[in-house]
Amino acid sequence: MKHNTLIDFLINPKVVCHWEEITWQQLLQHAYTTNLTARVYCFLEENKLFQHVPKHLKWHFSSANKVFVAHKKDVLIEAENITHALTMAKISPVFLKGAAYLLSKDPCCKGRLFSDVDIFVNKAELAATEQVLRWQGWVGEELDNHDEKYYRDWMHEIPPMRNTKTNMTIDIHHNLLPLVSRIKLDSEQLSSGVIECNGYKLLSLPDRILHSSAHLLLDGEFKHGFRDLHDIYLLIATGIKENKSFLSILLARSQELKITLILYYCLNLLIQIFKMNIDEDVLQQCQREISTPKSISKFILKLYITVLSPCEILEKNTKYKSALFLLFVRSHWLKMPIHILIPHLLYKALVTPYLERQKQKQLAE
Amino acid sequence: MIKDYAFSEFQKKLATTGSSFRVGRFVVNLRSNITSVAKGVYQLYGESDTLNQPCDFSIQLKSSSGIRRIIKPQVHFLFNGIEPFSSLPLSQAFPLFEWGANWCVTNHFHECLVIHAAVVEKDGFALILPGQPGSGKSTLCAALVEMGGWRLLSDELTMVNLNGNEILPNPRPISLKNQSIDIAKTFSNKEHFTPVVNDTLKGSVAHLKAPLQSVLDFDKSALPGAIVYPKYMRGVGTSLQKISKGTSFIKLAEHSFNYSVLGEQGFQTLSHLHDQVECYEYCYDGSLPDAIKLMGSLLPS
Repeated sequence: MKHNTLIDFLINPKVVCHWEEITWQQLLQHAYTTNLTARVYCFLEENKLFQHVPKHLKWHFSSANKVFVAHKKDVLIEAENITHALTMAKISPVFLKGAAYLLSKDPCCKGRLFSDVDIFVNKAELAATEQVLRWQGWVGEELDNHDEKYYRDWMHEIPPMRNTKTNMTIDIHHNLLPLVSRIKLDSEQLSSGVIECNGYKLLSLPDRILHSSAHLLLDGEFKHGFRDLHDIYLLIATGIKENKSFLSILLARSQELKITLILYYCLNLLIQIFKMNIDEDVLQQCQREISTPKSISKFILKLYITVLSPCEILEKNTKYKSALFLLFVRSHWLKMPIHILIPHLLYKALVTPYLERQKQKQLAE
Repeated sequence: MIKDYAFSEFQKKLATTGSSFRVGRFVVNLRSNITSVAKGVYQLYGESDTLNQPCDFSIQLKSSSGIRRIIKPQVHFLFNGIEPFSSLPLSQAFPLFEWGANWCVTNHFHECLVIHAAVVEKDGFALILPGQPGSGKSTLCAALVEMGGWRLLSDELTMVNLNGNEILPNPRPISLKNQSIDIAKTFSNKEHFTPVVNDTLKGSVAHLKAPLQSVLDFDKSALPGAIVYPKYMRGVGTSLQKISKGTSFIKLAEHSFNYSVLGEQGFQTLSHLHDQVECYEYCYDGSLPDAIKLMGSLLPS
């Protein structure tokens, strides 16, 4: 059977004491595949295990950490830039995902790299947010009418904007899941759980977990899936450490937000992939709440496990590709009602390539 | 050694289990079912040992499957299962290996300041040749190595250790573009060139095998000798002008791949480096013998 060396390591870093070179090689490959090389470095350092790394592979981990340290600095400055830019409109954004982990000093910010900063503002503040950012040096991409409508009326975020001074991009969310999605996340309710941490607004810990889980399982893209799942693992572990009944709180919150199905899949993935200890009670309560037949949920769970396994990502065989395809289709199915989905797919398949060609022709002339 | 295998045997190995060999100072494990890749590797890395140690970079070059196999076939570059850039026409498979291997280094190796510059060594001193595309740095580098008796450290990536006092070799094939291919062929063994690939993003490209001794000395670093910014200009004659260290500092920071990753360390490295060397701007009209003579005179004696 294929062996997920990285998973063994993340569950218990001390396993490296008995490793041979070939196992380190596997770890390095899996770390690159999942973009977790810097996190591996942090875990090794924390557990004083770095001396076990074979001499000629050491640099991979320490170099990855250098990137992380530089990245962290950049993101903290950018968070300040954004906050500062928006104060003039008296808007205080809620930071999401990677930036939020960093600002709240969650354990999963260790060695975490991300490509952009995500913020949330109320839809009422969206126009002002964009305007103020434009005044202060951020630029957005020009989009055709279809894409504008797609982003603004159907999805949960507007097209990314780029800070021309720092070159970092910002994703502005005006909702927390696609507006037309079959599974909805009530932003009003999520806003009620916003906390302040080190001077920044963030979602509360249970909400950070649920929001990240929803994106991981519904976006239909798993490029950083394994890393995101490991983030969630670390977040839940922190919650449990701080409060023994954390899982019950998480469950109650998922019920309030009506996304228990998400929590159900997520907890099962953590059990199966990271062998996490989850109260049987909580699991059974989740199970009772969801209407999906057990045979289907089991099948979907299997698909998730396939696309999230570092071994499978490395190999990209037919099993992996079909699982990815099925989850992609499912995510679109969940994301958009059929009367929006079909025209959207047709537009993307037929009109967008035509417009692209026109654009290229114009450029060539 | 790769050449110990018969070509067909090596090709089969590359397609099935993959092969690990040294590429510059790093160990690459390459898997590929593409003939032009096997040929290129066999030709340029023939003397490299096939290694059994853990590799730095696992690379796979795959030709497209399904219908794309027939219509405009493409080559995909995979780094540990991840495709960092979009596919290219299949004819560019071998250049893609070379470019991809450089990408692996510049994106992951931060134990040195990595500068986009050619670098050669003589008498223990390194001559650093940063230059924009078209500045003639690769041609000059090939001439110095093939005719001038210099050792090739790298034609593309200059690695300065973080104390700023050592240049680490990364001896790789020299990448030549457009007219420079024919020029280099006039003074190098023609059998050391890969077939020219036309219509790439960089125009026509070919790779020239790195001299064997340079490859074997991949672990022998050099002291900083001089920094010369070459600029190829036809019909103006040659001129060499000293430039200020401050000007050079800023130029090199711009030419560095990981100056911002290294932050303060990057700054310190560049400033220590500049403490030890003089910097010049060098306009040359393509007369390579003159250039070789002049470059030799710039090193500390």
